[in-house]
Amino acid sequence: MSKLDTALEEWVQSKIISPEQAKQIRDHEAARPENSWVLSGVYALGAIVIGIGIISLIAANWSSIPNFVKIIGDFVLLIIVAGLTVRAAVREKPIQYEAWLLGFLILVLASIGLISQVYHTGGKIFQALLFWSAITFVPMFASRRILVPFLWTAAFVGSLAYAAAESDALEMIFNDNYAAIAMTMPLLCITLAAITHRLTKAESRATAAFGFWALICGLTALAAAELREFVGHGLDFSTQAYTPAYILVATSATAILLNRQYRKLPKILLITAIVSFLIPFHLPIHEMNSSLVHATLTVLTLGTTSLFLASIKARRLFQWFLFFLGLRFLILYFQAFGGLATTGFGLIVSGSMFIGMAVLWNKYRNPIAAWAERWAA
Amino acid sequence: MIKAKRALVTALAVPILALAALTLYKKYILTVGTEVVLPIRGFDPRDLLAGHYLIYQIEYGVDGICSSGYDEEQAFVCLKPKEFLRYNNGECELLIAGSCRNDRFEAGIEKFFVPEEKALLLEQAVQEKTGSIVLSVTRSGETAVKDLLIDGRSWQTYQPPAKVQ
Repeated sequence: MSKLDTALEEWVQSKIISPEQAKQIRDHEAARPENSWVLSGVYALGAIVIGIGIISLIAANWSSIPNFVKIIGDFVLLIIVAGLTVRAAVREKPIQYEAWLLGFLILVLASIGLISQVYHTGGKIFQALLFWSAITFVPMFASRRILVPFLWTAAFVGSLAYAAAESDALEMIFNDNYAAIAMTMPLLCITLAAITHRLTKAESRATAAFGFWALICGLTALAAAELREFVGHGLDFSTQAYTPAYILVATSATAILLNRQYRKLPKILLITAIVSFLIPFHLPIHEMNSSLVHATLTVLTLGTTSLFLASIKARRLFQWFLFFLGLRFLILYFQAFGGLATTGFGLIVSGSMFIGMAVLWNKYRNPIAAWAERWAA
Repeated sequence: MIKAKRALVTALAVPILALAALTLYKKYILTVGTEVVLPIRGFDPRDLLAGHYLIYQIEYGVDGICSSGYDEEQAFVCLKPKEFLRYNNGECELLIAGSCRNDRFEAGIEKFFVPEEKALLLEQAVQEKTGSIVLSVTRSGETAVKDLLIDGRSWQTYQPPAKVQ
């Protein structure tokens, strides 16, 4: 049963709407082709598979076809797919439009591969992906759904992280300080989310995609920092490697403060979350590298991020972050009572805690979200 | 989100124009540059082939290229007169711009894409025969690969010797 069906059933039972109205809503939604997520998924999958097929064909580097024919053929194909994208937009076929747009962007990547092949350019994969990200930045905004911005931001953030570790220019700044790279990536995503929000003057898909990757990269960075401390490597503070992060913090904090959509409390919560996220990476300066301090700061970051998400009514993300917070508390228990956890008694207690946490989570997630939203409002 | 038709057309034209500019730039280097033929050898002679391209090291015939203590920085190989330069001093007649990585000079011309069906044959040929690369070098040091030669002949006309029964 779909979410809509469940909701309609609840509304009918609560006598908010009549069964006839529920049927009318169901029929209306079913008649809208753009709401068919199955069709959207199949179109997107088809576009991706065709794109990979084109890349594979190009990779075969057919010697019987002259280079200029390959290049001209590629540009003709690009123009045709671009034309079909425009046609789908004009005819208001949203699913076809997204599929053609995705196909076009994949074809652009394949074209970079073809040009690289024909002219034997050296270069690394991150250079091709960064070039692709740069030239498809504007068309990415043409998307009306989340998939294209999500894939674009994934390629961009991934290739930039790879470039930070491998490229000559960025390697001079980061100097193989992977903790600094991990710290910088979520801050870059937050800054780009703020910039795209400002550029589009609305909550665009690109902003949502950057926001999503900011959260994912932030969680990864926190986990990486704690794991480095846990395995005894520690973190290396370096002013040079940390400078990009400081610039990004200043930029994103300014953008957050200037944001008219957020009230005072969400702004304070978000900036607090960013600052508490940065602190673990600066513990080596104060020689405070201990698992407990790291854990406390992780809990603080997750807690403030959860409250921020509640304050902007991002309920599902809030619940996920609350789950991560609970998980971190559980790991903290293992850290604090490591010896106990290895005994049979400890395992029974741990198992009970897992079940108890799941039960409590299931029972109280909605009231907690409502409370946090009220508190933040 | 882009809604207007004209804005959408412009947005889709951006990558096409950028790719066209990249193609023309590469073509320009090949057209205006001075042709140079340099011998090549594999980094790892056991595995010259990566995917469908050959990876090789170019033998510039210049001493002291990327000597120790000089890494991950821009550098130049001057072919006329033959010398390694940290900076472009403006006195070199034939210059290749690149950078030093792991004591090796890289100018983005160390790959040659080959067709799938000829990949293994060419790998063997480069290992067994004398391989060289034809480059086009502009006055500012930009370089593009023109051709791969096996025993002085283009790879396209290269025929492996017939096996004796």
